[in-house]
Amino acid sequence: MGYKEHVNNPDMSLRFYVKIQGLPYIWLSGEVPIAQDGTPWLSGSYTLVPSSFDASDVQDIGCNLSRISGGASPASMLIRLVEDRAYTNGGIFAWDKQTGALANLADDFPYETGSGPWTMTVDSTADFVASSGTLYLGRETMTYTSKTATTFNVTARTLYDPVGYGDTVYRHNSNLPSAPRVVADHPRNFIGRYVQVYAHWVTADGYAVDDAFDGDASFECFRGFIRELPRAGSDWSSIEFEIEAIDSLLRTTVGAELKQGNLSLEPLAKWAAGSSDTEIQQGKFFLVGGSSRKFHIIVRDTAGAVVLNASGPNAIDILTGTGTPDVPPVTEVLTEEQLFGAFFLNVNQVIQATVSNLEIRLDRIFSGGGYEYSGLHTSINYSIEINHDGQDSVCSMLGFKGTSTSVTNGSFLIFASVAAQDASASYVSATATSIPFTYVNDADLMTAMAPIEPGFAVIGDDEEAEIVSYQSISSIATDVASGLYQMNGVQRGLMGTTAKVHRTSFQDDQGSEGGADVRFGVGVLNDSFLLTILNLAQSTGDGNHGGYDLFGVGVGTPQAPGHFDSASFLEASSDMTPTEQTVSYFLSKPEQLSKLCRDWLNPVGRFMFPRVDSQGQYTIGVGRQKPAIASQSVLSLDTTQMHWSDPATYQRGTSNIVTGVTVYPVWDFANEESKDSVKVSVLNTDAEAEYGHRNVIEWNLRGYTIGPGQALDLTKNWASQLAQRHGRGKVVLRLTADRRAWWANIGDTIELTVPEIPTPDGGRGLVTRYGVVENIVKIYSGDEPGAILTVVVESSALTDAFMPYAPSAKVVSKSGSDIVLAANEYTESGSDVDYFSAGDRVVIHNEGDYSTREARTIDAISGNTVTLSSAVSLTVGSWTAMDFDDYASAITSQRGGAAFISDSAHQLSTGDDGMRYT
Amino acid sequence: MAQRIDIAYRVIEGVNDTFDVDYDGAGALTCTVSPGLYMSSKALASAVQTAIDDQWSASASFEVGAISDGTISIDSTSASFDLTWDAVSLRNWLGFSGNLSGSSVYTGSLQPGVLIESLPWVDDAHGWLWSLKGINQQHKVHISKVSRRDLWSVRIFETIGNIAQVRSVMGHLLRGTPATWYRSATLTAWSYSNWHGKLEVCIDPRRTSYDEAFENPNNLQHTFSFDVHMVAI
Repeated sequence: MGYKEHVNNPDMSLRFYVKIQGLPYIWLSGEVPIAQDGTPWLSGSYTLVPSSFDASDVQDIGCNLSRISGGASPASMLIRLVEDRAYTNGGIFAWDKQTGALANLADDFPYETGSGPWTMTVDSTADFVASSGTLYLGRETMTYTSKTATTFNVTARTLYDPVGYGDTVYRHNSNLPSAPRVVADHPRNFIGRYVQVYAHWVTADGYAVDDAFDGDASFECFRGFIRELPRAGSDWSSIEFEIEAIDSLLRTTVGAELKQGNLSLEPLAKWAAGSSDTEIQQGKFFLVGGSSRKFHIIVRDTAGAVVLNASGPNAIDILTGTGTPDVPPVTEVLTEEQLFGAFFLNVNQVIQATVSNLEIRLDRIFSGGGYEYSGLHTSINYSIEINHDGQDSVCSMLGFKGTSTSVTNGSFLIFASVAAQDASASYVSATATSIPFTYVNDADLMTAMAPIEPGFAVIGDDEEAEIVSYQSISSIATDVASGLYQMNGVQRGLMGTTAKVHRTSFQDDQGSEGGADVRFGVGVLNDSFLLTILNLAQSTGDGNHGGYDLFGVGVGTPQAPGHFDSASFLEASSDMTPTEQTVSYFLSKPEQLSKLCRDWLNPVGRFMFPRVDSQGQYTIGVGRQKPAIASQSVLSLDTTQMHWSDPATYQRGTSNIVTGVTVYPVWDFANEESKDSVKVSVLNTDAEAEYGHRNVIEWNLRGYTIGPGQALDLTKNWASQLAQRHGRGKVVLRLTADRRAWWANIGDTIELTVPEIPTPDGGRGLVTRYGVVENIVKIYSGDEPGAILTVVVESSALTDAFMPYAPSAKVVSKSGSDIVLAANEYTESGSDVDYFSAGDRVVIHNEGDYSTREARTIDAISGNTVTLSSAVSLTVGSWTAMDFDDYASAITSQRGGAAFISDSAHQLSTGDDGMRYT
Repeated sequence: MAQRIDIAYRVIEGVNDTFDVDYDGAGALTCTVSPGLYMSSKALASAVQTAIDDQWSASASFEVGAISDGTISIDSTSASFDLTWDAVSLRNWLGFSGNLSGSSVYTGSLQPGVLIESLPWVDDAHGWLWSLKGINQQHKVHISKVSRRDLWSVRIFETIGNIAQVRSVMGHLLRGTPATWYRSATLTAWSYSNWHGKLEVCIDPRRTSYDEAFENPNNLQHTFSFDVHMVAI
């Protein structure tokens, strides 16, 4: 039996217990619970601390969602643990003990991968218990079974961690601000530990319904992180600390400050030429890489017949000649002389294998410093055609263009020449899959992390920017120079940018401007933002957080997957079209995760919030802003559930009016911001006329790569829904209900009956009206357990009544006045017949022939069998349907919450939120 | 007027709904009480009898009933039988302290949820509480009645020797357990025209405590009284 079942039994009540991550204790609100068979609950590996948790005020005040910003402010709770005579809690929470063993980690300590054991290396284990014992590292608790002078043999990890994945990693001497570094035999670090407040049901005589901790009749009514040092209460006989609900973790930043690069070779030149600026002028270096190591030449005889075709795919590799080409192509740093030498050796090696005695040279022009191709054949005249623009041609780097053709005549000939200023130190073609770069020698970035592999980078700025992805980064330092790296496996021109040629001139190298900047960062290419949020929140960099551990070290927060109700993320993802949720993005600096979530979730009417999920766990899930949908009402509130003396109070109903939505649909990936020049504004002029200019919501569509036309349609659709829904003043009621309201959540539809309450329509009493929960405070203990709900009551006008779909059912067979319906032709849960009631007016018709429909009244419903007021005459065909009758014929209860098709053609509208009266 | 209060008892499927009966050595069979809220010991006893009959009606005619002193007896009316409890809570509420064996009839030793009149109960006043919402401004008052509860209060006199029983019953009431208040020996249903009969009540949620007062502070050997405020459910 689930944890929700007992809430309707007023004779049953709750007891509470508290667990804290990594601590081997369970704090109980009373004595040790006793099961119905009289057996006390077993403590397992925990130590039970009876009557220590002050449960006088256990309540979840719920998060407050802002309709305007989409932001949520996390709830908090004060945990008060009452001291016993043995001063147990004081000992547990002593965070500054003067006794106990401590040691400093002296080497890397990994995540809990594999089955262990794990070796923990420290400066000294002398103070620790010899044989075996418990270690506390950060928020993780572990045990060791043996030790040496400087190592522990750790055999069990993540103890007392019900959520899981609380394992700690320590990276020794890395540039990361890695913590913790101190291991102890007692807990020292409390901030950041999660605290679980559990409730379990007991019968009136005090016996527990469950027979052990965390049973089916238990639920986690709150989970939060300790945000403050535990402190003594004002009575000096208790320990207090505040915990913030788990959604506070969304306020942490994701992404990382990474080392930045440059296509300039300046650092390289300095290294090679010495530190004197004057010497830089003397050094010329070329990056001969995948984009610049080919030489395209065709040799013909005097009759025009091709003697050698070393062009196109047969182009000569100037670094390997007849040797086996490097795969992938290696980039080499060559001085001018080395380049000429390699060219002479390898190009002529290939040419002369076919055309003996033909010689081609690459040289510097003595006068002016340009470059030239020259050649000689002493006896035979050959037509020499050099294609400078061939794929990955070295000629492009040196500044040659087009095609040069010359005929040897026995003398030394200049085939082509180029001025010095046209030559480049490096050349990256638009199709290159490896890109060399140097890191920027910037003192401000000395502590920055190395780029993540695989990763993303932006090359260049503003209009010239190109976003690329790469699989790896390798050092391509040579004897000539060090400090040079290369991105490998590069995909070019991503996220709406164009693949470009990047070249670095010698002037760039030696000047202050340098070549194009390379900004490394985190990126995602065409993935659902819902899954991206999970990845950003959970990634460890070591891949040990299960299915949502995509990003490298330091990018994710990295939170335990158990804090997220991933099923609700997947459900939300399946509810949205690929267009709505597919994004790409590039992030070169840390950003608050909650801001990313808001930007992505708000336009599609979603939000993230913590709540007790279907498994009884307090996790972060995805909710949906939607109008009240009668068929999805989760709670019916009337005077039997509401507080007698003060059941409902009106709240301000216009403070959240939205009179317009401005959407910036085009995202500038390289500059990581919206393009201000493109925007879609939807103004609710009626609302503005009535209420004046109120809130205008701004949405920056982060990372969408949709075309302007599609963006316009999509954002108009989203914005129209929002403006329509929130463009008028609302009836906002604050309701006090009993504990049967505990299972309602923000965004849920509830049904309301409040007799005698004055209503805006001039009458009194709300009867079977629907509203959406905006906020809910759940009071689990104290004198009056229950809930305080803030509910936006939908207008009484039928035009605002929604249903998830037009009620329909497929008729499978008929017998007399009975018809049998298919169970789930139009529904996923429950059955189609659930949306019909006795008394409803319906029509039965065959698909495509609505004109011959037969109208009937439902007399009775039993299972999927519907008894009609009289038999229908039509033959049940391959697709016979039963729908609600037209609005004019429908009975009142049908009209109240259902969707209707008003026109004779039975056309459905295409809105996402179901059909409306039109 | 004879009066008693029987605390309700909830039987939950899979939690406290079973016990085993072995009649005449034929082997133990599990008896299952239908889940639900039983508003009196009499009602629960009847359900227990049904549970036993479901398994053993072909062999014996069990009788389970609430005796007038509040205890409960289980009688096979024939051969001896053994009864093993699966739920201590069910056992306790029926007034037994352990498993039963070797006899054909057993009578509970306790009445943990039954308060029987031993001295007159007085001032069982009845009224209706209306919850009011309204405004109160100068020259203008408007009040609406939004909900009604039927209120009852009773001053109960008891002997000192019965104080433990009183506190047991009050402990249940204060935890929110509903109860049945029998207000006459006839046990007929209560109505607005007939203030006798039985009434299903719970303690007034606005009163989460009760006070015991000794009638003669100088002589604590005789009687005490307490007031209970209840609402009809």
